[in-house]
Amino acid sequence: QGEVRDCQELTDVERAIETVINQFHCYAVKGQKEYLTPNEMQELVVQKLPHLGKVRCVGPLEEKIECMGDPDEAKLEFGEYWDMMGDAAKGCRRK
Amino acid sequence: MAECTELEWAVQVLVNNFDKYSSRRCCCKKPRRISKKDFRKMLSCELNHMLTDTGNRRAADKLICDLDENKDGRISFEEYWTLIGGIASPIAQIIRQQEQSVKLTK
Repeated sequence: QGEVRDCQELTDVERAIETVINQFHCYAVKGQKEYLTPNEMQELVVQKLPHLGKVRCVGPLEEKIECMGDPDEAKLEFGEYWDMMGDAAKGCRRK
Repeated sequence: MAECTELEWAVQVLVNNFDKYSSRRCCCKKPRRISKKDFRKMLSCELNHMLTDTGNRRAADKLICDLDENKDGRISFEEYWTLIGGIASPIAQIIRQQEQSVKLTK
């Protein structure tokens, strides 16, 4: 079946990675897609992780965001954003 | 998660993918891990489009090499997440650069 598929058709894993990247770009307004401010990160977690956020990890996630420094000035790069998604992921594994 | 958001779906897919490739033989007390062999298999099965770019493939190979150094031989969930992040990060950069060059040519 793999060969028959259109080679442009992405796998679920690839679409998932793209989605995570796109959300970062959508919310990184101030940093022009280079970084998120803690405020933008907070907004993203509330709006885009409403269920995962509730599973245990919301505490730590919010604490982490608070520790990031100035809510409007601190820069949260893609790697840090990815790590936070990892925390959310660990939260949904524990369920 | 009946009505999960797109981002939650994405996180769940990546979690399920780890579970799919991590060994089932482990007893439930031990955290699940992926062997390096299975990780390579996962890369070619699940990320074949993203890694067609030779640059990306080289980056992925380097990531696996770095992993060899810790001699543990198996990939934990944390390591898996970091590895996928290592693949996603350059892709995010490429998307940004492409958008910028589109803006410039307009």
